[in-house]
Amino acid sequence: MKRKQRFNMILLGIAWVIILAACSAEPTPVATPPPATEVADTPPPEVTEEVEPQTAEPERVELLLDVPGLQEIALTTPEDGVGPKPQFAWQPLDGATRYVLVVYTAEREPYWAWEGAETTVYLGGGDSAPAPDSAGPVLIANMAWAVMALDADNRLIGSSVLRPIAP
Amino acid sequence: MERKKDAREWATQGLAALLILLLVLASAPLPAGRAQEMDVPVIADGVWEGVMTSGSRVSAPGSTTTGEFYGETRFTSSGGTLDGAWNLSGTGELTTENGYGTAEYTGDGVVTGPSSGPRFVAQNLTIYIAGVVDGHPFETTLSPPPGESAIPIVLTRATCSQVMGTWEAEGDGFSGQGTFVAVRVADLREEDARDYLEEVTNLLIDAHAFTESVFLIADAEGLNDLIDRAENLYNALQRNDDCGLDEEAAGYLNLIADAVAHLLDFALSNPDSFNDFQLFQLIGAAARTGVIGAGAIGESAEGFESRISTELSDRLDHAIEIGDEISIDIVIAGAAIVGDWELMERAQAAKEEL
Repeated sequence: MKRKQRFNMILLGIAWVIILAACSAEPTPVATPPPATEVADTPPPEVTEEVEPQTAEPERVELLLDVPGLQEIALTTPEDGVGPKPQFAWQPLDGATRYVLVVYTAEREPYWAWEGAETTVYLGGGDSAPAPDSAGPVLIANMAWAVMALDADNRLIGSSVLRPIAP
Repeated sequence: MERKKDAREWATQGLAALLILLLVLASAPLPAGRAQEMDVPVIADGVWEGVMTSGSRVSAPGSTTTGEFYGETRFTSSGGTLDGAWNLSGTGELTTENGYGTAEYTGDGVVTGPSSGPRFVAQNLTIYIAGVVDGHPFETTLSPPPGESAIPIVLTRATCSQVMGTWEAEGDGFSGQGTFVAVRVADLREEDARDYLEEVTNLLIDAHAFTESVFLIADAEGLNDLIDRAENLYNALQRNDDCGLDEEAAGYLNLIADAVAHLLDFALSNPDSFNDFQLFQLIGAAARTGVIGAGAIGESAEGFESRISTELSDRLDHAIEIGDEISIDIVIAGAAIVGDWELMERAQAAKEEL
């Protein structure tokens, strides 16, 4: 085999080895958040159905925080069509004195957070509904959000699911 | 025939080399989506108005004067350069071993320099000091020669509509430092920027006073009040991404971000001084003001996130050691805020084992 031909074969061989290695390699091992309420472009799975707050037998749902004894916080904001400056809302939880809300990107990075005693807050905070074109955090892509609840002793007592939201 | 063979060989070699190159690049870890990948914040084209707030110190033999001054500026950014004017005024107090006095500051000048590094060159700068020492009245005036003193602004965060920065100035017997904020006039909902900038000035002054006292880090309500005020200012500004920001990441600039970053840096550098819940609240404030997270603007976000994860992990280890469930809960929630899912899972597993 001529030298050039041999060189070409070697190059192609290296390329195929890399292809095969890439195809068989495990994805980078990163712990993932609760997968139940997948965001991205596909419609979210069915796990985000509302749970009856009081008397019905609670369904097994994937809360953001998987800690024994946590009560589920029921989220009430629609999943889509909420515009760029949505109002996040949830049902109050018995015993909760403060709530912590976190909004995540589709890549599960935190985007914005809030802490307070109320059960509603606009994206970006503020005392009144922001104009859709105002500065500050803005919902311009599919994201997800969740709420945690603490009591007067700063104990974690509740968590919501990680729920998709889209403008 | 020979030519065709060469062409085939060239194509084969090129294709193989390209394939290898693409595969190598594809396997490299991609950075997480970030709001703004600019290495250096810059002031976008347009007409801008801004404010400077400061703390300052004037030193003369045997005496020290401290004070604060406030400045205003209006300038144009065009094609990467700045052109405009500024002015300032303020007061201070003089202390000596055996005397006292007061100081008055006035100054004005031109704004110049690149859009990545404004310079406030003083044309007229006067520091008048009058007081009593050993029972004798005195007065003196410091006036650097025109054009020889300048305040360089270090931009820390920038959107198309608003920029923030810090400044430090040092001259003959004078040193000062402070905060700079400017807004692009066209993006203000109201034609007159003055009311907006007055609110910004008051907010910056209060934020500066807050950060001066490290004990106030424990004052979560006070910090949240400042953040509330900063968030209410969003509505006065129209969002505009016409200067090339990555729209998909939707970065935002909270005027309290630098103050929160200062507090967070202090807390992470002095972890023994803050309990778990105080740290948790500060992490929440950092996520709320864009100090960390995908909406962060500035270079410090990833560094802070890494330090937060490290600190939370250390606290988790300690909490596991002593069986402190509340601390583990706080680590779980803190990890959820910062998006450290691996740490959150570890903490949840530890909680179940208790």
